[in-house]
Amino acid sequence: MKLLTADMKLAEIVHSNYLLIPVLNRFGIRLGFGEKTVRTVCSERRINLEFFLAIVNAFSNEDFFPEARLRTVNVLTIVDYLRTTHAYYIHAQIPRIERLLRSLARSKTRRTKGVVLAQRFFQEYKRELLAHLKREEEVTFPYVEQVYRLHRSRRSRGNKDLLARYSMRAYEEEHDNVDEKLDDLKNILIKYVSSGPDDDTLNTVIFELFRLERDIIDHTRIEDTILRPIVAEMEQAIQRTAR
Amino acid sequence: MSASSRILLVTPNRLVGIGLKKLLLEYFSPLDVSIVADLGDVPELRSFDVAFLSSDSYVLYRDRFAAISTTPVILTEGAGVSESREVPLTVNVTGTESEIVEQVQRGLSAHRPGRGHSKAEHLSAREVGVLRLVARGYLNKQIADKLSISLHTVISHRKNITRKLGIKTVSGLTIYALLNGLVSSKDVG
Repeated sequence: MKLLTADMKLAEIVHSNYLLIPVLNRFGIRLGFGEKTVRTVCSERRINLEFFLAIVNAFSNEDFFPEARLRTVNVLTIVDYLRTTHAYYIHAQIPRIERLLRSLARSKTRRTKGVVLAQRFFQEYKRELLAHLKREEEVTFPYVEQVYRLHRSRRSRGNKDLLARYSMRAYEEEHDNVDEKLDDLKNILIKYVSSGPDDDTLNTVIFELFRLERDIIDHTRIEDTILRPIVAEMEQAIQRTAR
Repeated sequence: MSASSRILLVTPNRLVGIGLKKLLLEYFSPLDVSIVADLGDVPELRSFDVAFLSSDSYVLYRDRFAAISTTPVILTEGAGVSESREVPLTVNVTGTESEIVEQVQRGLSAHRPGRGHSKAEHLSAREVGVLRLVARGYLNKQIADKLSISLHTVISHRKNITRKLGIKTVSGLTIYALLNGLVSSKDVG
């Protein structure tokens, strides 16, 4: 996969991998950017250029993950990005898959039983995923923001309380894998739900599941290899000053 | 998943080695590929499944292939240069990418014929029995008691079921069982 760089046109980036369109949206970039380059759009919209490039490259290329570069990025920027990603799952991707499954179940073909079971299975997965996202939004991200502020202020009082209530270690332990169910659902639809006259809807469900899975893998990778180590380092620094 | 095949590339030409390695990984992953300049540097040739090497080094080290199962594949420059009956597998390094890929594929499948279009892996009767109980909500320990087998055996059946079906979670296995009539929806509750 070609490396995406600052002086490429945004359109070129989309041509290289159209799955990046929703990733651009998460940065607040909308289609219709004409001939503008990445550098121009990032400076117009006050997007951290290095962060943007690291994210789009890591998304397109599984083997490319500029950890060192990403770790220099402000942790609030990372949390913002992760939040918009959550919003995309909750408001766009999951409802879309639900709609598609509903329309498949309505189509009264011989595969209806399989579709109904798949629908129920997807609901189970959805509950797990939403609980996971909610925990991050309500506990992990606010905690990260507090740690960041404390770390910057270099005050030492009251810090231990915060760290005693939650930590990146606790996050690591609760950050369980929610994608096994998604993988199973894909396999069931591919192997055991037979194709009917409305192939296209079933195909679209499967495409969407692959896309969601890939996005979540990328998302988890950012959380585990970037967010967690940066915040753990701040925790250590705070603990040293609190002594 | 079976362990990936181990491939040895013997070439003093680093660029050929890198190119062939990239091509192998791109088209035939997962593979474990090593590159050496000279076969004399490889003490354990038998640990490799397939070795790609020039006809010169093959002539020089032919004896080492005699008693082992490693498949030699000869890298030739130009078609039909090394058409010896003894070693029918060749890859013409001056060919087009598609030709090279097809020849490499022949070399790899010679080692393990039938791989890729192997017979479908059906569940055994015992595995079906275990799966039915999993779908009905029994835990491993309970399944062991019910079928009078050891916990260890139940776990190994479950591993095999997951490997054959590609389904890991209990909910997923339950749906498989329902779809295939192994249990009815009132068993599942």
